[in-house]
Amino acid sequence: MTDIAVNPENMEAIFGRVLPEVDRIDTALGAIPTAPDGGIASELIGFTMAAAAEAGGLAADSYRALIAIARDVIADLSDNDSAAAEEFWTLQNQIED
Amino acid sequence: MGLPLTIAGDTAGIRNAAEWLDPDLRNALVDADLELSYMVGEASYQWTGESGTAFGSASQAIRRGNFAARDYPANVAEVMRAYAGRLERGADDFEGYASWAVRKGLTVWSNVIQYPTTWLSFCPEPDGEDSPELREWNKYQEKVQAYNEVSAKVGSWWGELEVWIAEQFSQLVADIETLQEGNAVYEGLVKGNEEVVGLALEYADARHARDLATFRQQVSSLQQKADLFQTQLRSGNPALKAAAELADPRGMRQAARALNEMIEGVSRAGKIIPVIGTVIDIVATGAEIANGGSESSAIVGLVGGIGGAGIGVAIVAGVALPPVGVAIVVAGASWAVGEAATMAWEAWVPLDTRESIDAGIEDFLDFINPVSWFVDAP
Repeated sequence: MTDIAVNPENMEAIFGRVLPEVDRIDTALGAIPTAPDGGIASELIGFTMAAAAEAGGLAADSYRALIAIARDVIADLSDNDSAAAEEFWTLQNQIED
Repeated sequence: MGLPLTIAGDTAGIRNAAEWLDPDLRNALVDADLELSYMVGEASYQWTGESGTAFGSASQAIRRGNFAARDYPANVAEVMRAYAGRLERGADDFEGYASWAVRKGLTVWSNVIQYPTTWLSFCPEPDGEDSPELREWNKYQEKVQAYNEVSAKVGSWWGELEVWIAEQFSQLVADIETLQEGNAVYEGLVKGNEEVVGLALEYADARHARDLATFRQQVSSLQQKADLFQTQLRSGNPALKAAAELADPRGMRQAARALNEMIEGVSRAGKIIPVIGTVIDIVATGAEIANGGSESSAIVGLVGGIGGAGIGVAIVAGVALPPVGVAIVVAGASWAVGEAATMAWEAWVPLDTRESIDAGIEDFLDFINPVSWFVDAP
């Protein structure tokens, strides 16, 4: 058993600084302009713009998901640090697979 | 039909969309990534133990997985700005062509150079005695020559533009593959945490629907209009068509057209990311074109499929200005600019700025060239 210490209030304050930045991504995504008339490159412009928007959306969702899971884990962290660690190690393995 | 001098595309709209990509979207992504980085540092003091360490590692993995998403908007924006600049300079050039055509006796009406006409109902003997008919005939011949000359100029411009589009945008399409990592990260996060993540996303007020179907339908409609214009432009104007083909010796235009058609096929449905199904083919084709593989069997097959046209196999230099022309501006008086300087220039100076300078040099070379087309003015 490893020593465990978590300060939920301070962690929440940290998350509170990250989430407004994630909101900014979503606000930007919500302001996507109408498809520009790119002449003969319209399709390519639209395709690459849409890819950028989709990727930005995935990034925002990932950050939100990370914080949601972390909050959940912190809430569950009563006395079993190993179980909580397992959650994140599995998570990392899944991400890197 | 005469020779239209209209260039399809709304440059202000393109620049506005580029502005949305960078700085708007890009800065938001960069700032969020920075804040995540701070979060990892601070959390290491607030959450210790194995779970805290694991949280830090997972956070870093998520950051790394989204680096490509953070950088991609700026790359697209840079190409879009350069493209808008090309269209704007093209419009300026075409304006010059119209003035020249008028000076050559051609009629320009509604931004279209009209095909020359004559009141003659027969062809006079070219070596015959001087007569009003012969003078009219000679004048008419000069106008036809001028018309063909300006058609070739316009054709070259379009051909070069199409090659440029193929070169620049195919790389961006190929780079979509790098965005796949962000999707893998997200999938990994959600697995086993569906409920927690689902609730978090549902209650995020700033989050918008991720559906871009309407946007992409608009895009398809715009492309169809542009394609129709392009087809009409070439039909019935052999000089223009020949010049456009000449500017595209590697068949890049057909390759880009094939890519466009593939994209159109997935535009109305589905997502781009994850890169699966048809999108894999699109990304692979983009990579092949970007790597100069337009003569490869894959592209030839695609082009054969869409138009039945063969691709020229002549291996010639690209249509862009030689890099040394660009480097001269950077190095001032030095003509012996090394490869390193050229590469640095290309790495540090955004594409749109480089292209504006290129265009300036090109105009200057036109000006000092005694046989320049531009100087051939009364």
